[in-house]
Amino acid sequence: MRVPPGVSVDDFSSALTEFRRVVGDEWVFTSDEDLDLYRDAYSPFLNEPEERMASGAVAPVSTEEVQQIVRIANRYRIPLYTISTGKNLGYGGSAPAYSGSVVLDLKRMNRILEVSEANAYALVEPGVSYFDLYRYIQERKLKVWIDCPDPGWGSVIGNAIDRGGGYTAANYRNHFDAHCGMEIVLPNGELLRTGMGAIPEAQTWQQFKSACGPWIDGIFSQSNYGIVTKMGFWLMPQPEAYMRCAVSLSRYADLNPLVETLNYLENSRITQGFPDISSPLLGYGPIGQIQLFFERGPGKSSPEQQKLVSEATLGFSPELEAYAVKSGTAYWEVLLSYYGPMEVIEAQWRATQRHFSAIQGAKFRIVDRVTLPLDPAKIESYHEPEFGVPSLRAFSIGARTPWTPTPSKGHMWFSPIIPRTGEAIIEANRVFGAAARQLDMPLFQTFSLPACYWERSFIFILATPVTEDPATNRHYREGFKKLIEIGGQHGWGEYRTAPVFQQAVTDVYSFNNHALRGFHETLKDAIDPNGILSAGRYAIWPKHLRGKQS
Amino acid sequence: MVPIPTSLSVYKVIFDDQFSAARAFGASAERNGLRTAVIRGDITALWLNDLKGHWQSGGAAIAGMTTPRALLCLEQLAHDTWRRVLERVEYPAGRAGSDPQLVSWIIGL
Repeated sequence: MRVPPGVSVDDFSSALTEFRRVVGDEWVFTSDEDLDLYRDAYSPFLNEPEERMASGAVAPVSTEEVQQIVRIANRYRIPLYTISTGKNLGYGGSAPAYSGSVVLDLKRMNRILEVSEANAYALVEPGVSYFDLYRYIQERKLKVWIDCPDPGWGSVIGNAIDRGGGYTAANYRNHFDAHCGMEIVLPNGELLRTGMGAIPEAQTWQQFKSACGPWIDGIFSQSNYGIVTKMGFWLMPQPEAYMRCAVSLSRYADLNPLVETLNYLENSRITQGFPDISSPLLGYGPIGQIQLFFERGPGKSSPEQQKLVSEATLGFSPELEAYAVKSGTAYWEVLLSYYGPMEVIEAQWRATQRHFSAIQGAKFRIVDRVTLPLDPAKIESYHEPEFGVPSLRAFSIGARTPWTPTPSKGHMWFSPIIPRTGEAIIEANRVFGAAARQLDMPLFQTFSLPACYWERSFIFILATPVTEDPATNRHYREGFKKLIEIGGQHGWGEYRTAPVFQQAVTDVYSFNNHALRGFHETLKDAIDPNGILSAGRYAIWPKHLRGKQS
Repeated sequence: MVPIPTSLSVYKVIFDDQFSAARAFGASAERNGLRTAVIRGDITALWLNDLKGHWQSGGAAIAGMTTPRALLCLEQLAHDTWRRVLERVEYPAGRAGSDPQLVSWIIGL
């Protein structure tokens, strides 16, 4: 039997007995073969002694059971590590941040408690996946859309409190921002509801976010201050039509006005969908079509173009720019998506063209114009999540194809946030490119473009491979940490990361002698004095473990 | 190729019909009287419309031959009902233009 660190065998056995009394024998797991299901399939410590492992797992079916488990864990000082469905591969999966914790697995809590079509919101439990919510809505023919990540197999709550993003309209893509109201089991077992849910018999829990007084929801995301057992989300009313359009620009220097114009249009809600910047000239495709890249390979380019691209510095040379003009190949292209009544989105597209026309040589084309809902038979022609449809096609990323002959075992996402300017894109490529070459890391090889999941900032989402070779993984881990540190020196930080890197990432958030970490620790000590909840999650350690982790 | 024990109750055999070895695996299963299901890379529809309900109702094992990525998806989804990969046999990629790396497997409780 595996035993959590610092817990006696007798105490652990007693705790397990009490857990079984609460949830039933079949929902407490201690065998190696069961606990192996909680390993991180993409662990950067794959098959190394440092790989984070669980000592046990317990799967409650109700909030009341969660409360009882937490009280038992307090009595025996059992470290719990909460997961919803544990599907955030690349960001840690279901393995605990503190090796030896007991995984508190909430996937059996999978009730969809309410979906309001009239006011476009849902209330769900943590075991509800995007597939579950999508199917529920489809079966009832409700005219609302979910916003899902890619892949869409994860928990709606889990992704939101891990602060994931999606692909539909801007006000739904940020999954934590799109939530409205939480129910939380605190580390002492007490039950808390936030927002209007704090009113007994609340009538507007999923309709008004901030209620009255301090708005505390944020501290329950990427943290270990409580266990979220219910959460509300605003849904998108099913739009009448969808249009995707492309703006193509021919000069390197056009990147700055492209971003400035995009920012104005997006911040004004003239375009609402996921903006997708690519470079046909540099061979960098749109994020939303990345699975097509892996399925079909890169677009064709001439030997001359390939040679010029390989010789360019930060994606530029006068010869490459001359080639772009001569061949009519776009240096930059941005795909813009619109949702709404056709007459409205056509007007928005006209306004978009008027604004981009200020950039000399801008070219415009409509890529798709469809009325909704889409014919289900045609959905595979599109990037499904842009229509609120969950999919697993993203797993073509990294598959062995003629274009990726040596696929990795998995990946760890390097995902720094940078400013929303063209200059920042080039500067990030300069800084990270030089560092990656020096560190021999397979990132920023030629020129990388960021994604626009959230308004007002860019994010790079770059996969660092996990291999079956521990020496290679060690090299990538060290390089990854160095890139995080270099990013911090330039004022850039990760938005999310796997437990292995959470200390390194949060080290960067060091303003005023780590005042933010100090505040997190003060909260932790006050709310969870026994340190039983998700120790180490986002580098928030309970007092008895603080400073003792590498 | 992973042998499917005759004593094992198998719900369906899954194969990716893009690849000749997987098609042969599926054909062999059909000859042995097993039900089959076809995928082409992505397992979303199969899982959503078939396996999810089957697993939630406590169904029998499944077997198959797919790419490792398709198996990764099925394996992770199988974990939702505490199922696991019971057997797996990997096959290296064939010559250029032929089958990629494939894996045959059994998933069950």
